[in-house]
Amino acid sequence: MPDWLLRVVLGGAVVSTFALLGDVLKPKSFAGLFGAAPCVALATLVRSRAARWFWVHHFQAA
Amino acid sequence: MKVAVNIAAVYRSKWYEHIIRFAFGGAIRLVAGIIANHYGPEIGGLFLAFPAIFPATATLLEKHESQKEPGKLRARQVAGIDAAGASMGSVGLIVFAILIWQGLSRYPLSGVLSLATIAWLLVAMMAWWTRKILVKILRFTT
Repeated sequence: MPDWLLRVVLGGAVVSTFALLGDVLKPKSFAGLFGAAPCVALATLVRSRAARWFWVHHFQAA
Repeated sequence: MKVAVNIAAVYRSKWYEHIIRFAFGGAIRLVAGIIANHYGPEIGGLFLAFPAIFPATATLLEKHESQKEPGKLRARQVAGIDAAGASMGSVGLIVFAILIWQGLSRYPLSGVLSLATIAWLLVAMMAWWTRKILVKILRFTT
């Protein structure tokens, strides 16, 4: 998967997850906390973890 | 009001609204990456704190509320309450950024990001509880 596509998919997934969390939580002032979640930074974390997992399972195992 | 979970709220959003959020989040992540690659980490870092969730959520929230009860005022009030929550979440984001700034040169990325995320959540929740208690005290005294 190209790097830019991985960024788009992970960014979209993290934003959608926090937005869903904001939808289901009540009251709305509490749900609003998740509107300021560090989603871009978290997408970076998930990406680095995914890259490491991919490296360990596909290259080191071979 | 106590914190509660209402799973039925997920079904209020239409499928294309979820796709819009996903595309918006993906686009922001891509743009942040391009800016960081082109202009360096100092400028790119500004976009790590981009409010990617809030604009998508606030517009949909306002739309859903105006469908429930016609009239713009109530819908905007609810979106405003959501914004108040986001401002308290931003207090947590400051702590998040300080931990990343101080910790990244000494510790591994995944460890620092995980710790900073937990700190963000705790500080944001503490800010929310503090505001709630202050509002109660102010109401009681006036």
